[in-house]
Amino acid sequence: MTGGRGFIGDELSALRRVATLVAQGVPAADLFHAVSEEVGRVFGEDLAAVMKFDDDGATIVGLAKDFDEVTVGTPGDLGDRTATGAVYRTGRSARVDRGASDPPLGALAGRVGVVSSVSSPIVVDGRLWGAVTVAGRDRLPRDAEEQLADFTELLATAIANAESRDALERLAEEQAALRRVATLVARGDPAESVFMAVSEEVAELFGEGLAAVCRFDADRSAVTFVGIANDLEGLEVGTHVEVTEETPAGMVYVTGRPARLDLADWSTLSSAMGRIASQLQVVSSVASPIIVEGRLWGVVSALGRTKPLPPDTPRRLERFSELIAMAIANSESKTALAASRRRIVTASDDARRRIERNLHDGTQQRLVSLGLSIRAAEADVPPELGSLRSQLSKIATGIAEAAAELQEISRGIHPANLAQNGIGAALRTLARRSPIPVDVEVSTDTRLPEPVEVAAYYAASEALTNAAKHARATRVDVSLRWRDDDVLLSINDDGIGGADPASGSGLVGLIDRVTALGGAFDIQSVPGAGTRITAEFPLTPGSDAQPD
Amino acid sequence: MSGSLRVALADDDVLLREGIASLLVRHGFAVVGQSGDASDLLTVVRAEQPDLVIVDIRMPPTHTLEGLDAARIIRSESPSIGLVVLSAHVELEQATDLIGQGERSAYLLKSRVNDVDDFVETLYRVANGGTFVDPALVQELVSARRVHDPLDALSPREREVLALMAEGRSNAGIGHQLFVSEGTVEKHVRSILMKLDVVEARDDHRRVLAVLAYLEAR
Repeated sequence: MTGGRGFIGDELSALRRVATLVAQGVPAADLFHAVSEEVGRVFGEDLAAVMKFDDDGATIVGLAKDFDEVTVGTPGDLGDRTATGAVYRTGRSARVDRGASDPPLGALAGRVGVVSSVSSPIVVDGRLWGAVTVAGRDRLPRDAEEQLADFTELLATAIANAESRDALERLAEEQAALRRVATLVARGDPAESVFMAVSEEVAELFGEGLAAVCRFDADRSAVTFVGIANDLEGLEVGTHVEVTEETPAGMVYVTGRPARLDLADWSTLSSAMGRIASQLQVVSSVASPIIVEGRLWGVVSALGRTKPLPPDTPRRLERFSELIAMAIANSESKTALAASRRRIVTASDDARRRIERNLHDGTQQRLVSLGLSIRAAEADVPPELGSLRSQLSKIATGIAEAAAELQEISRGIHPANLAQNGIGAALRTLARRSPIPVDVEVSTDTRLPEPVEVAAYYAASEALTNAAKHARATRVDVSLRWRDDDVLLSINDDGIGGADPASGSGLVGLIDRVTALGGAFDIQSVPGAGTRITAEFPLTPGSDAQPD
Repeated sequence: MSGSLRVALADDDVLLREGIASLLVRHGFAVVGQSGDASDLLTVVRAEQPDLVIVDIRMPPTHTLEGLDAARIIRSESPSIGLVVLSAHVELEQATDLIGQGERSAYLLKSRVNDVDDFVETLYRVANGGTFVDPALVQELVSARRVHDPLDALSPREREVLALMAEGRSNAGIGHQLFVSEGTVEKHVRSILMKLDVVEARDDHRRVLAVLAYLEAR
């Protein structure tokens, strides 16, 4: 076949068609196939291919026509006498005449009798990405290299675009993942949920389904898994695994810095963590330290199974470990706050109980005895001292009144009835003494944990006081329901609404009480629509508010 | 009844216990034993078989319901002994617990001992088979507000009669209290029962329980 630019018209229209596909952003595989076809058509040959290079060699990613021996995905031949091999080694376009055996031909070359082949490099952002190669049964035109270069340039542009688009997409995905985790943290979700969420997001972004969050045990020679992505078979939250410096998690505890390990065969590692990684067929692992308020707490690990994790993985993982650190710090300060609240509430309850007891068993008894002494004195007064007798009688009556008042006061300080008869009886007594009608429904006769009874009692008491004093309600419904693992107290009135916990009412103390027990408090008080207060008290083991 | 009423007394406050004891002696009762806790009281009661037991509800060791528990044991061992339970504060649950065990019982605020005449009268009524619930508790029950309160149908006088019924007074006792004849009281009682749609109880003790239950449940 004679050379020359006689094909220029065909080439231009072929390039235009490829350019259109590039502009449309068709998937890479389709583009590679189209380029191979067009190149083949321009040279009147069906042996044309797009090849991608990597450290290990070349892979065919586009082919003008499939053959039995050669298809997309077949390794490219980079032998000495191949044009593609020359491109791979030199980075420049190459031509081989006289008995070329070039990919995609390889085994095919002999059968179809190739005499000439040309290959042109695809250079993306200054790096050798791959090559377009065409082989001829006849000798290829003299300027075949230049013609091919037009296609590789176009392809390089398209690949650069696609790569930056991929990078952008990856960045967007990563940002979205970070945002989702940050939302959990900001919302104050339990640290455990944050660990799980991070594991799953990291697995999705870097780790081919493999990622975990681990906490260093006290002696740091082992870690406990606290978050695990779905696909990490054989491991579960709570699993302890011994670690050494040979794996990234172990390196982190020595250096306090991110660590990575790329290793084709992890079975050579002797530590338990190494064996687990080996079983999971890990080839690459990156661990990023979780540092909570200056102390090394644990690691976030991403694991790669088929290929090394991207070089920027440590830097990108760091953002996730920072979020985890924040969640842990939040949860620690929340726990400390709850414990301190609990101590305060318990202390004040104890004080109230003590005062009530002192009033009843001490002061009130004293008054009654005093009254009795005066009555005795009164009885001893000789009949002729009638006015003294009536004076003593008045004093005795006054003392009795004082005792009655004291009884009212002590009842307000702490309801002895609550400890003796339980929350149902105490709520009914509260209801009887309320100046507005109160309907009480209690679903259980079973005694609840004392802190729950006390908190529910004061919550109801405060709400009833508010309903009577401020809400101008004509009725209140109080209900206490024991559900599976919590107790729900609700107090609804038909008053004017508009109650605001922020305005310094007793509602604030009430919220403290409920949250000190790990419970949830809610108040709905739209002006004109009554007030609805609900408090949920967890009954799970450990919710029992013990002073620590 | 011949001779003085024999009384056993239990309260962990020695001063108060002595005060009550001397009051009792002054009014012609025989104090056959004084105890500071429930188990000692039971020993005394078993030995002395008194006519009446006066017991503080809150005593060692736990200072909760020891007196009430002791009363229950005494009731089961010696049903004829009158039981007077004193409490620093009155609760419906304790009242129905005690009264529910049978007649010859009184549930009183401790400070009632200062109204000496009333207190002494109550002791005699209990010894004679009566039942008595502290007026403070009855008042709490009667004055509790309800959205649709059946008590609204009662006249003020009928409300008074109802409260006295709840305290455990007989028709004669109510008449005495309100300075009206027993016949007038009977008329009020019939009117109240009709308005509240309650069946007449067979005796004063059952009447107390029925009225208390009605007041709480209305």
